[in-house]
Amino acid sequence: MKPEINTALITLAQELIQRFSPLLQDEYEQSRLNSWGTLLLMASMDLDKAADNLIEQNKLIKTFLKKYSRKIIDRVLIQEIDLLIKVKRPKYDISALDELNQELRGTLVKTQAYFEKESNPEALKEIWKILRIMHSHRKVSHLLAVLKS
Amino acid sequence: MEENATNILGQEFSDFLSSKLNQQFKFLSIHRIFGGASRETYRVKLQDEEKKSQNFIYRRTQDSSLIETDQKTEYVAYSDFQDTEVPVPKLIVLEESSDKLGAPFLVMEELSGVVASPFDKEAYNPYQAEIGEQFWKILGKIASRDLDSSNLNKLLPNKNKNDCCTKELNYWVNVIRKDSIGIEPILEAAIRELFRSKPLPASRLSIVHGDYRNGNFLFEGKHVTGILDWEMAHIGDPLEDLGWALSEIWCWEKKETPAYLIPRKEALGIWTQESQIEIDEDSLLWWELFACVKGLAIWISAGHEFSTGKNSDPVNLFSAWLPGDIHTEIILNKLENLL
Repeated sequence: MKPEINTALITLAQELIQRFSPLLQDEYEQSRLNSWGTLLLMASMDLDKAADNLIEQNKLIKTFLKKYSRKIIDRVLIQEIDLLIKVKRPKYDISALDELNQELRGTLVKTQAYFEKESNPEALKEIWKILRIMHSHRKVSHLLAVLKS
Repeated sequence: MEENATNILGQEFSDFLSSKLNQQFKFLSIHRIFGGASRETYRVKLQDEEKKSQNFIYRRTQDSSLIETDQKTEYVAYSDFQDTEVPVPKLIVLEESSDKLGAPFLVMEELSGVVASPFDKEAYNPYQAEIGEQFWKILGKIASRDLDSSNLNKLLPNKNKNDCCTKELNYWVNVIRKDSIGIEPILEAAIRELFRSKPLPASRLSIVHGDYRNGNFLFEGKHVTGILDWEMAHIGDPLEDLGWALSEIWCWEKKETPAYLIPRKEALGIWTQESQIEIDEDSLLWWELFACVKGLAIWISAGHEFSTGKNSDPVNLFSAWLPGDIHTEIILNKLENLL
């Protein structure tokens, strides 16, 4: 098996920060290169799970919309949900998954606004649970301490 | 900018200043300061006729600026606090045209002190208490600055105590609508919440710094030596600055001490005493949620600059990823608690 892409990216980030950055005389250019190294490190951590995270997010939103569409009386919204939950895209490349994810997010926003107006705490609680999971997939703030070191 | 081009810029700057201030400067060095994506900021060292070296801060408008702000606004805001208890750099000149050096710019004297990263929880150790007291006191002074003699108030007239919150919210939501490259349901929920639950009208109109936080001031030992980055200054509700400065993003690893300085209750006590403004708790909570939406607008704008190739500075990508992520999580925590 070949070395993994994220291993290569982590090594590259380390080389940039530890080996090449100290060679630069200009303080601005040095800070800029260090930032690139840090960003590369963050990107490499996201890479491995990216597709799996999007698949999970799309599944969670679809399941929620399917379950709660019965409690919606807005016809346009129901139609939008129906169309979206029928969508099947066999492709697993990140761009295709992300495209579907954006469509699902758009409909989720409308559905959340609808249930806020209708005061449906059960549906809203479930949406916030999904949103927390979705946020945990993109969360990088816990890396602050690591990045500083 | 390549080293040679930067040196040419430094020489041109020296020639400009010599002519403007009617004395002969000799160009010694120029260095770009890292961070901040709204302006290109340089430290320029010149030698005057008496062979003394002087450091100047030279802030140029960027072709692609993260937040589109007028350089005159920043200059005028600084002018309101020259020789006051709010420490700011001494202004030298504002050049609004691009004819002289290729872009509008302002020049200030350099103050002593250093700027810390807003993400460094140990930045002010061991002087958190001393710096904290000054930090919140200075914000109180800004809030209580008399508007009758304010140049900024003359530049930005027609403000109303009743609609500052709506104007600010509309402004930043428009930035989000213009620059978003994806849909973020957590942010959308916050925007709906802010439109639903307005704060009380401002108790008074004040100068609002617009980005008052740790990381935007200079300090030396236990002394705050300068308040910087006034490009988002405007007239509005003083609670806006308070909500922004208190935001958990600026104390993410030690939330009990806003700005990594002193506890919230102490901070608010100092601010209230200095500004003589009574705080309505619900209104402050609104402004704290607003701070997250405004922050996200800025980070989204940064991400947009980066992805469209307008500005490939890594600060833009970093802003979209890390601070954007933190502000989203703060909203998540706040709104989940409302259920």
